Amino acid sequence: MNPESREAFKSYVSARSAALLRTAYMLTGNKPDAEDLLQTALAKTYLAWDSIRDRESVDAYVRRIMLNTRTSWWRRHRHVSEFATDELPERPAGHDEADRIALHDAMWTALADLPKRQRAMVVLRYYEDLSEVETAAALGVSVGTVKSTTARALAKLRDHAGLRDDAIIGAKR
Amino acid sequence: MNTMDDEVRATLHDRANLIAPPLDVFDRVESRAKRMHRNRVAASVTGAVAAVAAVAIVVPTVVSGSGSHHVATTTGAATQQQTQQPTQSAASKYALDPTKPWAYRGDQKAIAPATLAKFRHDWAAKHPGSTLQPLWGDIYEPSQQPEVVFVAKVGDSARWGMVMGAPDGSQFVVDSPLAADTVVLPIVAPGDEVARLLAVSAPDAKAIQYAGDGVTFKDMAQIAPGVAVTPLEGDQAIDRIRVIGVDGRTAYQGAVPDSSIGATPANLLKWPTRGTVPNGLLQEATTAYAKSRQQTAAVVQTNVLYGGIDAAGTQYLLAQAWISGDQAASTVGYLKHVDGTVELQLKAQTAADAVLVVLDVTDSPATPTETLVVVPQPTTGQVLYASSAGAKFVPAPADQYGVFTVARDPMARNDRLQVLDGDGKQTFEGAVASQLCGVSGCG
Repeated sequence: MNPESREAFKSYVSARSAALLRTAYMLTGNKPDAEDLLQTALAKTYLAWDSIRDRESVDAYVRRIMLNTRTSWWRRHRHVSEFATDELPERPAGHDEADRIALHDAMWTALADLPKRQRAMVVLRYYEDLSEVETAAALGVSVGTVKSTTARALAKLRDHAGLRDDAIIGAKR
Repeated sequence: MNTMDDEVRATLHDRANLIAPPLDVFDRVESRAKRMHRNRVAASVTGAVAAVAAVAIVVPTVVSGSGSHHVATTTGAATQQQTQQPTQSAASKYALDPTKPWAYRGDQKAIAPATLAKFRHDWAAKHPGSTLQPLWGDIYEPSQQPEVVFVAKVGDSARWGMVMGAPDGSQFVVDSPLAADTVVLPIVAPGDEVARLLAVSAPDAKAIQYAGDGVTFKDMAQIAPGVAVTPLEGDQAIDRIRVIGVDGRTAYQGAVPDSSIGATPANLLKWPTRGTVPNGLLQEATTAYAKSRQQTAAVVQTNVLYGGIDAAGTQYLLAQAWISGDQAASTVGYLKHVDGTVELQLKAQTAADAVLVVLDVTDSPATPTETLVVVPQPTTGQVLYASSAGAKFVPAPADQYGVFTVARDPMARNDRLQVLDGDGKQTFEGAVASQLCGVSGCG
């Protein structure tokens, strides 16, 4: 990589690594794995940097690598629990806020229980705010599969203990 | 937009906002990228090949066997051919003689006295009376562990292999018979990103070449005289390796070992470890399994599938276990009850494409029910249980790892399990009894 490319890549990492780490965290469920996943994806991007002509599409490129790498890790890293979760900082909370946090904790647990593909679709649709077409492209599946799989994921979340409609409505009151 | 959509979105963003921005990302990424690059192109080549004239006669045939690589010999004319059969050529000068092995090449740190002593100890535990002789060694950068290719006389025959250091002992990645007139020891070893093809030949071989497409040979990167490495990125159905003698003629040409069986048994389940393995339980299980195979724990390798503890306090784990060099792994259950009694369940071997593995946890003979711990493929959506042939399937409860439990009547007959994937498609239905088969039969 020549100095100019290196600086461009460095700028990209500086600008986008925080957001990309969050996406990695959504996919892995814990920060150490998320950092590892992001570094791996960015390292692969580094090696391919000069061949990426459309710099507007780098985020999509990195995201696709993360999705693929995540799948391959899942096959190879058998020592890592699939959805290990780490401790997050304590957050001060009032009564309503405590309900909301409890609901989100339950939701997070339920998301962790989703099969890998369902979880990836939920992350892309509801965190990345990708359209169904964009999600299908990112995962290499049909739009119909995105629709049906996402619907099944949401149904599964609804059935999860602690996430019945009344719990959600109660927390929103 | 409905309430559930809103809450999913809010939860994800709420969680994401708690993640602190990463530090020093660029430096770490650049370092990792350079390491990947080195591994891919093996750019850090050291040493050069000493060129010594030679005329060869005999060439070995590489036969990929499940779990190990065997090198057999064929004798024939000195011609080169682009077929799936190894090529014959002049080569006996390059052949490995176990009584007068090739000189050691590589990093001396890989055979530091304590390291070599440990490798030899673990090898002798596997093959009593045998001493391994190192041929090449290195400290593998990603793991910072030594790896050594060796040959050893075992009684009247000889074996060769590759051993890697590991925190819990020596890992014999290859342990195979050495055929007469072996010219090259090809090893598919774990890599940082992709598997590596490592080839150890005679120190005076001119070059070792690899053809990912089976036809277009390129020099592998030499890392020591007669030792070369390349990332294994070709089509493994057709890729080939060859050794070029100092006269420029092909001394050996043959297939590359199948990477899927390079380091592990063919039936290894590529599932993540789930649950929690209680402290010390794996070591106990490993020792018990080794004893059942009349081996030492040092040569046992495991692939833990699930570990947990039930309401009565019984600790258990479900794993695949094998002795280094085995072609297939055994499926093993290990239970430790609260009264200290232990139970090793040697189960029927599990196929690599198995949908589920089941462990029978019974706390005591007086317990009215036994617990079936059903560890399914990670993509599983639901496991259902029918208590008899005519009973309706009902969903079994799952824990956070996607492992299901069934309270089963010990007297149950014809009860069945059904597995649905994440999309609700059935992937398995069968009798519980068929999942409780032991090495000596089903019940």
